[in-house]
Amino acid sequence: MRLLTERPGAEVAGEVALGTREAWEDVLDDLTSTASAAPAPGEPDAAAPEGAAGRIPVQRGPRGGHALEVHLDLADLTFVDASGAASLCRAARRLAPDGRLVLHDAPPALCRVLDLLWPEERTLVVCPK
Amino acid sequence: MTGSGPGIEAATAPTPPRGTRADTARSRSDVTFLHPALFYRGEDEFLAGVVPFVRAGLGDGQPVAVAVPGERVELVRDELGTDGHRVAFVDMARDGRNPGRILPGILLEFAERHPAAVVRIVAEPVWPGRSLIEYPACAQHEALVNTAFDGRGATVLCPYDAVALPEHVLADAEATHPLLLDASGAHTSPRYAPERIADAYNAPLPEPNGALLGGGDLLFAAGDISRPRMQAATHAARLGMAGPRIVDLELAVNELATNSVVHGGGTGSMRLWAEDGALVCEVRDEGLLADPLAGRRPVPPTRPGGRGLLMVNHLADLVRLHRAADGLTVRIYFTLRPPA
Repeated sequence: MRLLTERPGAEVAGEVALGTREAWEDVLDDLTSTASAAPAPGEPDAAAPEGAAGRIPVQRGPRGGHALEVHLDLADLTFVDASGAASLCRAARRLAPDGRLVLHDAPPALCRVLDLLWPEERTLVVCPK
Repeated sequence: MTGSGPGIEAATAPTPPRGTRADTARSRSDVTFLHPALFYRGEDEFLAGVVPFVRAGLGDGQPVAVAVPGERVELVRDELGTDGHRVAFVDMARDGRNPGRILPGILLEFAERHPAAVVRIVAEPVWPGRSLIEYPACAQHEALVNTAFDGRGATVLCPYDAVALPEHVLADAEATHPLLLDASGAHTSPRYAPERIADAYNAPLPEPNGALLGGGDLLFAAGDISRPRMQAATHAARLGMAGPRIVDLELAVNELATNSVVHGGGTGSMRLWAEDGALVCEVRDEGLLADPLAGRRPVPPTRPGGRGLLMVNHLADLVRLHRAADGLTVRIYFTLRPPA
């Protein structure tokens, strides 16, 4: 895992399955606890550039109004299981309602699990690979 | 056509005479689950049983779903006319092709979308095109419906083609449905015993009907949890499975392997083979799977875990299970070239 410098978030590589479950949860815990210490809802957020949402091709969440976005770059992540997807949804809910989690280059397995088990999740923005 | 059906309304509301609305039965029906089988002979009897049942539900303001295989969807829709606009239609041959998906993906899913209402569903899980390998999973599904809906107000009417289906299928339906309807009326099933059916079909699975791929059993533990899914993906690709389905297969195999490590004694073994146009993956471990409804209930979005078998049921074309005193065997089937 590598923390992003240009915006709040992290880059994650490898796979999320039984053996990496705890490491994955740690990453998500860190990101969401850092985020909750970030700017209060409604205040300008220097770390999340204006119009960041405009680059997102698929938008699952409600439009606008998010003071804080945490970004996960998943281009080098190959696989995420059901438990890993559940952790992601819990992390996203910790940011709600004022913040949201944005997934970039989500692997097909993760997109499939989210579609199947969390079709109505509104706290996650998923941009497929 | 209203009133010409085999009489589910009369059968379930004993006080008023046949054909009248049972307002007094409402409060009772809030928590009453009814699971009648409809034995029909021919299309006219099918419609005469299903259509008045649907209209009575709509008339009572109940949410109504009709899950029947293939062309029957249009048959019912046409007969309902504009009333059909208020009905949720599901192609059972597609969405319920894996009988293990019927409860979590169709019946309970519909009920949970209407938590405050008494729902009414037509669900035809068995039809003449069901294969011998699918049928035991259908019977197990029917045996579990009563438990799955326990304490919830709903009526699930299951049509059975009494002309085309074999005698033993109809006999099983008498054991899994407390109430039987046919052209002569409604009868309490004299042979209602769903546990007997659940036990009878919990039998050792037949030996693979094809050569094992990859040279035999793959043993795995926590340290090599990714190997089963990768091996399955490799063989699926060689057999020409489409890319998105390989992703589904990987997800399903991974959940089975994870269950073996977490709940099945820490290790498991997998074998793969091709059979009748499908890739079959079997995972065995020392697990017991005490909950008969595991993988058959929708999981609330906020609950952390417990989605492994549920996801397997959603993804696979067929899931067969055998629970034994010394372990659990789960077999999943992925069709190599599904119909378009």
